[in-house]
Amino acid sequence: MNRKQARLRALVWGSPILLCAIACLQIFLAMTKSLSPWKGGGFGMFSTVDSPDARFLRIYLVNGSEETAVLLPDNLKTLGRELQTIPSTALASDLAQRLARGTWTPYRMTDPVRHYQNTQTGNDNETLAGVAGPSDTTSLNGNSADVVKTLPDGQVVFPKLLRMRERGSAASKGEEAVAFQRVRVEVWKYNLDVGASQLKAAKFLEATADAQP
Amino acid sequence: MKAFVERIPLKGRPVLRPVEPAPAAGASSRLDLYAIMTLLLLLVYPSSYWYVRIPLTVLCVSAFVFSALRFDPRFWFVTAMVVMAGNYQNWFIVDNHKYLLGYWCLALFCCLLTEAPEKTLAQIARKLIAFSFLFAVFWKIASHDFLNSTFFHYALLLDDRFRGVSELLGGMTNELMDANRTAYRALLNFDSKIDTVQLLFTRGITYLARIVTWWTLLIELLVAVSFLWPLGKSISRWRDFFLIVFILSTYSVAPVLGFGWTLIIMGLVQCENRYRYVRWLYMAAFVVLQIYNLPFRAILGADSP
Repeated sequence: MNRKQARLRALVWGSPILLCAIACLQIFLAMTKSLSPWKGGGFGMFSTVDSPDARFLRIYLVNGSEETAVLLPDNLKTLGRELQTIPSTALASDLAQRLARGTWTPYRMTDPVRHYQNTQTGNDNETLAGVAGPSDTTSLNGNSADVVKTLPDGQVVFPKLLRMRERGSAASKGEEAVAFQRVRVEVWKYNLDVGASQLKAAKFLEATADAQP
Repeated sequence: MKAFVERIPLKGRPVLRPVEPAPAAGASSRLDLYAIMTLLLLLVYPSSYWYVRIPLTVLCVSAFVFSALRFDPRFWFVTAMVVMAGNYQNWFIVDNHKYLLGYWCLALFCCLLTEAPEKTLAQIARKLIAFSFLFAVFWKIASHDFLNSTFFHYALLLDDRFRGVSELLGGMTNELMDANRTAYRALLNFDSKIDTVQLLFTRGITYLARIVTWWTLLIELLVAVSFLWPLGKSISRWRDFFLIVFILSTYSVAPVLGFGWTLIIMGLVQCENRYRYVRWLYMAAFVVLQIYNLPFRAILGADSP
């Protein structure tokens, strides 16, 4: 084979070989590191229930015997997605440590009209509605008296629904941080049991991190 | 017009007769068509990351304005690198067709470095289709929950993209679908303590899941084998037919239009000149994909309370 032919062959095969190399790497990672077959360039989409969406996170702030479930903050969603796609104890631990560094406070929401009126009268408070609120697929367990409080200034506070404030960011007026000793991050996976017509979830791994003083 | 007519003396009178464009011109115009379709694909289905979307938009618009760029290998190299850099940065999020798009832009770069770019591009397109389907088949066989039709049970019950098919062919009602969706949310809600939820489905879903499972495996296997087979022999002659059937059947259910469009461009590039109607079938498939994307449920009022 002369040089010209070798060059032509390299140009014809370059792109397909890259496809095969990445797909083989993806298969290796899926077999050894629990990478979801749906991701990573291995063309495993629509082949299994085990997509990143079938791996979900449960996160708890632990204080003694009390545990409070919390939502993953928006700024950590990418890390959370990576954890769902290729779960590992190291990633879970990293996420837990970042969550443990934050300050957790109850969600507060203000009617935008009321918020506007308060700014005019100097009685300003942060409007959280629509900024960092839970998604529409999220709901709170428990009865409404336990989960919602309305303050005299019109703010609605959700004591059981916590949001993370980055360390160093300013607190809103009257905002109180929730005490906790550590954060536990759990990665769960679900499977469909067709015979029993059930969607069954099982814990895949977990990591904890102590709260930063 | 001058280029396409010639004067032929006939009984002393000159007449105009259309002539075939020179092969080189035909090849370059087809290559231009493939380049334009790829640029449109990059523009119409952009990346969700600004650092990929904005450079690609600038590159694509530049290539529309300055047509010479479409034949410049350096342009396609830069485009491929931008797509691939985005994929590398978000490898755990991006879908597989974005990887294929990166390989395709690289293929355009490689083909323009050869003396017969269209022929080279056709060879690369065949290989990319063959290997991507081969890996797709591998995963379907290796998966623990595909061949027993568990995956399609799940998709038909809980994936909204399959909802229309579940209701139309599987006998599912709005109420059953909503009950399953409620159960699903209860399992995944952030403060959920439960680990099992009950799903409801009809016998029709079971039959449908089995049919879709085996159909998907069969058609993907046929595409992979026919594109791997030596050109012009045996099953290879049917490869365009299999690919078009795959596109029309798969994307009617799961409208991943970016993937479908990529496959159509690659199918067009590699189809042989002797079957001219096949080109039209690929173009028809492109139009049909857009029709699939119509909000049929909303049009038919199925989403109204």
